[in-house]
Amino acid sequence: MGIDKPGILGSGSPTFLTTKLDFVVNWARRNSLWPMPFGTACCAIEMMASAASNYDLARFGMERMSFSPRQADVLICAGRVPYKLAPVLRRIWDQMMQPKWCISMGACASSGGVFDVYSMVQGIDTIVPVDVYIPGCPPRPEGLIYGLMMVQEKIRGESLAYHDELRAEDPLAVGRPRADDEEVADLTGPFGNSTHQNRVSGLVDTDAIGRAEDRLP
Amino acid sequence: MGEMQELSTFWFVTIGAVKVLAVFTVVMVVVAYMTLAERRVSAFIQDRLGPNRVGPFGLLQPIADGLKNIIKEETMPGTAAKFYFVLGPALAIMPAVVTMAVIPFAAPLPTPVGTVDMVVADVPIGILYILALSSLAVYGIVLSGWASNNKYAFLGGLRASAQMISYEVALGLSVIAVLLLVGNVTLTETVWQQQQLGMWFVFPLSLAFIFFLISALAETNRLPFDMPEAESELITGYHTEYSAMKFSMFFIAEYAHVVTASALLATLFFGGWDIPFWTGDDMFRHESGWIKGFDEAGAPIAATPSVLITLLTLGAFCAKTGFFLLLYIWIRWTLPRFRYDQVMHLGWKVMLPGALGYIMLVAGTMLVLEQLEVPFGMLYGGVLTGVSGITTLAFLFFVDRDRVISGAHRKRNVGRRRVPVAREAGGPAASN
Repeated sequence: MGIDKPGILGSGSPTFLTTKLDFVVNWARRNSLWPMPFGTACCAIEMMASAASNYDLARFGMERMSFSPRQADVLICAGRVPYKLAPVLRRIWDQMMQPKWCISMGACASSGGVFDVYSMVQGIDTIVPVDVYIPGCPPRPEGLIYGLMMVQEKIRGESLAYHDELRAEDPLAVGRPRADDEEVADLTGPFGNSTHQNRVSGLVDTDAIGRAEDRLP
Repeated sequence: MGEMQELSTFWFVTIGAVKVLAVFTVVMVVVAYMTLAERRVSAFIQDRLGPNRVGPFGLLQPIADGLKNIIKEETMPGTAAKFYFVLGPALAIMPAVVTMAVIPFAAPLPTPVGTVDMVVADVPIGILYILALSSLAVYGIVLSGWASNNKYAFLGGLRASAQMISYEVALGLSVIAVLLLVGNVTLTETVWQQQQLGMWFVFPLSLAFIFFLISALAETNRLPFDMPEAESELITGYHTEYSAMKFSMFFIAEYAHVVTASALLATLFFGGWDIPFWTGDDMFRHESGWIKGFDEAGAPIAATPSVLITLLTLGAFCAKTGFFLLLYIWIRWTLPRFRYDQVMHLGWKVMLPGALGYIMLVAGTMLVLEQLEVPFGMLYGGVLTGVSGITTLAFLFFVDRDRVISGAHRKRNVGRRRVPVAREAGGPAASN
């Protein structure tokens, strides 16, 4: 019995009791995701559209936008983030209470997009650990809703036994996509063509992921 | 005189405890589903669907929200005043929950051990108790705003205290008109006098009803008076720094206030548990028995409490309260927010003198009616209804948007001299 996975419920593999508890806890968390809208650009307009009548995020119980990060569960970074804004984004992420998730909405937030310039953060995963990347420029509301449902899927698979890993806050250590390139390509299929897919395809090489440390402010 | 068996001390305590538990539980459940109703109704108003994925028709949504908030991390800002930071939510929720205690929610229930009043505590100070406790709610808000050590929370707390104290005055003054007509401050007697008058107080005291409705909206800090929260200006106001269950406490407190205010509106102005157009449910504790009225000679007529009447009156009370709950949601999602100076203007310059003048009017009318020895009944209420109706129409005409509370565009244009368009061809020099 090693203590290699010290969760809040102690070490060892999940038992019947903890898995049932996991189910209830995950059910509550995934059905009550309150977004913290961090809208910096045109993606924010699509985010607003997804809360309006045609798409209606409220159906999933996600329309309660928390303008205070203290009460939010999922940070939706919608739009490009310049280096000047990077500390603000990180502070808002730090102010959010655990458990928390992060969605990088749009090409600019995910990879810098077309703004491959001196002033722009090349992907917010260099600042905060991102759970779901939504490609698109900007993504349609369906894309955002699909991304939020992927967060729900991710929560469904969480377990209190791996609390420390799941709740880690260091972006460089855990912020990398856990999926390999092929899986990322599969998952992002419904979003349509995107910068991320181009990168995965090997046709475009921006080195954006390889040099993450260089791009920290 | 109806037979009345007094409860023994044991049963009084036991049934009292059961009533406390039942009312508390019902209020909490109503509060939980009020949040769902708010989201669904707002969705319908905005041509959306609202939460419908969690459970049938989204009915499990409040449970998911509550459970998530219980297991979320608590905030404790490093620079907060820790004791008051924790005390704030507790102080906010306490008055909201305990005010339900004095509101009668049904006709008395006959049981094998005696007749039970369908009110948690029929205290002789009734309305005064509610006014005293509901004004305590401001402490929780202003304290949490200050203790958070956050400028937005602080401003929210300040606004809340200014607003709640301002409207407390108008609220109290609008209740005085009811007290004049009832002649007592207990809420059971308020219901009884409405049964005796043959009409609900909303008709003879229509202006007091309007004042009370507006003040109650302001007291509960809901739109169009949600100055303390004001997302566009203050993030979320006084609860900016609160997360998880402490934040939920403020939410529960707000909705519990709404439930209490709705129940109070129903009781003071819409006959409480009285069923309209039916005198069979008229019932009041008189000396040692239940009476339904007095005959010509002034002798009391006995009334018999029954389970059926209790259930029917409970249904009537729930229907009336539910209507006001819906009205609250409806108003919130229909009206835009006031500006802060407009709120203060309305409170101090319109509602306060208006309510004071209305008390004089009601008292004067009642004095004339007493002098003419008009019996307390339909004629009495009819005269008051006429006087109040004319006053209400005059008041509504007076507070019409462009007269007292003018829109911003209007104020800017008033008094500005229209610049004549230059008639001759020429540059800007040709004009005025």
